[in-house]
Amino acid sequence: MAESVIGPSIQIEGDITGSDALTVLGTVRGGRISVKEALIVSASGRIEGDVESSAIEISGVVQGNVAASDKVEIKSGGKLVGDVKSPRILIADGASFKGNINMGG
Amino acid sequence: MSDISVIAANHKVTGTISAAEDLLVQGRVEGRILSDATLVIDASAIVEGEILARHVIVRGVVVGDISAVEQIEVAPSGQVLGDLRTRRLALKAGGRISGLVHTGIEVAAHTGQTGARAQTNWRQSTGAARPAAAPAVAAPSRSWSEEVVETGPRAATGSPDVKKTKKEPSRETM
Repeated sequence: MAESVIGPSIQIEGDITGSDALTVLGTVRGGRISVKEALIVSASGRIEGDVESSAIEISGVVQGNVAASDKVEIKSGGKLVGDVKSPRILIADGASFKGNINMGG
Repeated sequence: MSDISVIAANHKVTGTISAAEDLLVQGRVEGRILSDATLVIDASAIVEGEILARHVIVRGVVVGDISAVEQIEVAPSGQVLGDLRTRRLALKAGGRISGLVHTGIEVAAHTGQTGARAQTNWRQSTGAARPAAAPAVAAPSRSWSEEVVETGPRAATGSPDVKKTKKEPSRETM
């Protein structure tokens, strides 16, 4: 198991950086998340800060700018307040989004 | 949730981590870790910063002081560069500690002030675990530190734990 899991009762104030996948069920705030592989923000997850990864899946709440080299997906029930920069973007029916989209190469 | 919380080997966290559930650190943490549960510093992990948890198992490297409400366990592969304060300490053959060690003292638990959920969990768990263990060690601990858990006996008699929220351990000597 090479991926990190931030459980529902865990709160991190600061940065998370690294290469493997990261699943956030808790709260990360005040910093920057930068992971090379996938970032999953589960329904209970909450992120306040900028996020950078290859593939980002949002089922929880993200407040901050989001940049992905592959794709960003906001699932139903997910909420994103911030700008998105990614070549592929999926926004599901029922998702909440406020911000700019930049899909340009 | 059945997921175990993990900071994986290739990840680095800079900042404060607060947890009310078990956490396994295999990567790097630069900053404080506050936990109301068990914290495992795995063999591949490096933690630079202060640790406060209920139960700490060190298999990797910790540079910083460790306080544990119940126990600190330094495994054969574990190395600690810092002071240890705990009720019980287990140092296995091969494990290394470089610092001041205080055992048999009451360490005030993480108050979980950073999250309502964390606080609730902590109270539930202390409510179950504390009364059995509380009476033993109160007296000698006063000389070591002001972080004596004053609420232990009171909590055991069932009075409301309102004071815990107000109590911020004073740190005159540390």
